[in-house]
Amino acid sequence: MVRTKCDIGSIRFILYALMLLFSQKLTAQTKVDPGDISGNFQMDAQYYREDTLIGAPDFPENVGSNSFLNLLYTRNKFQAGIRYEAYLPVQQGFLRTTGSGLPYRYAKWTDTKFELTAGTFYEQFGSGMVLRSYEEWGLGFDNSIDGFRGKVRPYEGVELTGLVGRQRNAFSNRVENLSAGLIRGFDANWNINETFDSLNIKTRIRIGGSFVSRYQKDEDPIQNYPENVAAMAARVNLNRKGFNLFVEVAKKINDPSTVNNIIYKDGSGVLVQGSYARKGLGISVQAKRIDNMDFRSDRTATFNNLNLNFLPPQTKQHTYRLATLFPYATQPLGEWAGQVEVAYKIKKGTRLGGKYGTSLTFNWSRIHGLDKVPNLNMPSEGYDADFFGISEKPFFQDINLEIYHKFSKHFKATLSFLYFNYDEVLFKQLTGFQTTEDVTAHVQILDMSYKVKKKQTLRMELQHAYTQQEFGSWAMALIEYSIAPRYFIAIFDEYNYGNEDEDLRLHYFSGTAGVNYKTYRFQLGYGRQRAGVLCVGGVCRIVPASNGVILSVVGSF
Amino acid sequence: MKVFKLGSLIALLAFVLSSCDIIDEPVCLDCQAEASEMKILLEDFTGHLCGNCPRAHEQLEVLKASYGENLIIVGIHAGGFAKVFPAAGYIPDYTTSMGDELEEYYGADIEGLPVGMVNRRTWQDGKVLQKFAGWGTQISTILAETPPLSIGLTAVITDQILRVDAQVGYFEAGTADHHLVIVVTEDSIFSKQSDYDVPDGYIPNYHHQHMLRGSITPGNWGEQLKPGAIQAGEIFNKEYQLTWNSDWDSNNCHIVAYVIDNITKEVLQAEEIIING
Repeated sequence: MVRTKCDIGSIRFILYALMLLFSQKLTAQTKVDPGDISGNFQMDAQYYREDTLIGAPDFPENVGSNSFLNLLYTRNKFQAGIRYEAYLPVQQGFLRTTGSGLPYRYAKWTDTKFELTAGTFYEQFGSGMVLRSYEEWGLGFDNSIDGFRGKVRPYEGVELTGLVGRQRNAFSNRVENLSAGLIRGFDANWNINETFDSLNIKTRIRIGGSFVSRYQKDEDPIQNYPENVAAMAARVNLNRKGFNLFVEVAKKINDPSTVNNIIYKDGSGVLVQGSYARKGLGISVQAKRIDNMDFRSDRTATFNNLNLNFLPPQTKQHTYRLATLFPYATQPLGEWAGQVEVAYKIKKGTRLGGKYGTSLTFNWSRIHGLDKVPNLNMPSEGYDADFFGISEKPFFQDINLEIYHKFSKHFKATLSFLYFNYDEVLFKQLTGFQTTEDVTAHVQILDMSYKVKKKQTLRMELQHAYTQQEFGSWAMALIEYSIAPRYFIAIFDEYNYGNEDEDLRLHYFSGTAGVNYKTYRFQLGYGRQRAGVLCVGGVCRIVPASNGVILSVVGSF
Repeated sequence: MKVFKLGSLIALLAFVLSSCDIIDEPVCLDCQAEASEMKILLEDFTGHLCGNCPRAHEQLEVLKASYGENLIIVGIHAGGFAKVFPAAGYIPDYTTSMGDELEEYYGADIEGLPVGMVNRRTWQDGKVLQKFAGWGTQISTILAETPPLSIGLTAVITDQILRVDAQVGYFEAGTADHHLVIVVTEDSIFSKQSDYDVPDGYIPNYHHQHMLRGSITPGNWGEQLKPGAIQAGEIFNKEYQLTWNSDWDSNNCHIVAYVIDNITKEVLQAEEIIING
């Protein structure tokens, strides 16, 4: 009941705000700038059908829908925004609460030397190892901060940011549902070239430092939890001609939590990213060491809730469907990760390059655990780990090669070969699947695109994943026809032909068709998705199978 | 301006220094829970396929050592992580119809395991299901409260028939929605358990404790104590009989009784005894 009252109050607030704006429009003839209103919206709805074969459960309401509307008002240096969100009821697989309301609202004043934000905001310090607040609508992820933020630019090239607030938890930003922990943060960013512009330094240098602290009351009479937990980071970014180097180191003091199994060991993180690029060649090398760096605005939180920091993944983020069967997620409790990527373009007019050139992208990532030794002298510290020590077996490895070639003005194709291998225990942690051996998979993907006529393209994907573990091998075919920029239609079938259980060698048909009209997109589809287990930060949850019709409407104004 | 900058620097330094608490003594060894008439029910959703769940079990033992008889634990093996998987050696089926219904009702699988309920109370974050680093705080919060009722229990097995006598006495008035629930739990069951913190990823002979075996009271939400409002001072005597399941070792079993408000499902008081004790 309280929620309903709050919603009515919020809606009333919007109406008053719109009336105020409208009244300003009426008086615009007196040359008062009425400001601008802009926004965007999205509605994703799915009609669910029970499907006992794949275990898709009955959905009592039949239809689940997640929707939002962003409304932004800008006038000179002032900006205000709200977002209305509705989960009526929440779609399957999303960690959101059924309901609706205004979890996002802010007012911001931006001047040349400073910026003030009151309300909800997103922020990132450095690479995010001590603070990153962001949202991913498709994943149902939103860890916005509700509070106050100030940015000051006292000198050219120098920006100081200070913030205080609480984090959004699941659906609501209502005070009772915000994080139990209070966040205080400070970040300094210095672009040395901007400050000393006249010196004309050839190497671009940026340095920065961050400090974030969480206050959460300790009411446990037995376990002593630190009420103030601090994390800090320092970073440097050097850039000269095609070379780029970014280094960030982070540290977190004792932060016993559900995720780290209530140990008091300090956390640390080191991230090194180097790259070189020139015409036709790009090389990037990355390394990362993470040790007990899970940091949240509530020590009891798990999964994707109330994450204060973000530990950048050092594996290729695949988008082809069968390649996404083999994911990797940063292990915040400890990992050594390395990644190399080389992109090379074979010149046009050569034997391999052909008339239009050929692009090759090679990527290799390998992740090991830390060499952890239980700390028997101080069990509350959990373990010791040598800085350069790594686990005997890799957690995960991904080696892939992508070849892109344009054969003619009408036809182009991308061929990819991917190889994955997982440590058995890590695979269980990532997927919840009870494999009894290490997991290896070979994936091949052929993506072909043929321009039938001007603006009309026929695209086809053939994918194959060979593995003897988990659900066995898969094959997939997709065909898509698009008439740019307005229409597209796609159908695809995933076939789990290698499932050990013959009864589960099923086809997962899906199809989707869409229309783009001005700034709007309507999309209607049908999908059948198998059940899975999603594990993050020491917690695994079941993602139920689903079968049904999907509708998506997206627009902006 | 210099004074302003110096002041800002001092304020920043003060902020940084005051924002770190280094803990030298993680567990307060001298601290013991204050005596309380309140007994708390902690239901832990778990499963032998859940590789993170042993961490919650370890925390439960720490809490049990601190709170003793004031803490009553029920391990509910239910949902996707409690399925049998003979090919990988997870053979025994520890699920119960009561556990399955509780899992479905509260959505533990969706919330993610390990997860538990402390007196099935809805906490500050609006959730009943809670992660284990918060259990200690939640227990101490409830322990500071005065229970509205007490439960007395006896349990005897004679000729394979379990007889449980329960006496519920009210200190305060109650509603018609109060239900008495009585269940059996069993300790010291050994079988394979997934555990992501050991090199092999599992423990072959894991020591399962507090495992929910079944309900003695009818249904999963117990029996209504009285059709109308309950007066302060009222006492209810209830007797239940159950044919003992020979798969359960009565020497390792406990009888757990609790009274719930059947509207909110919150547990108001609990009790636990051994059989033939």
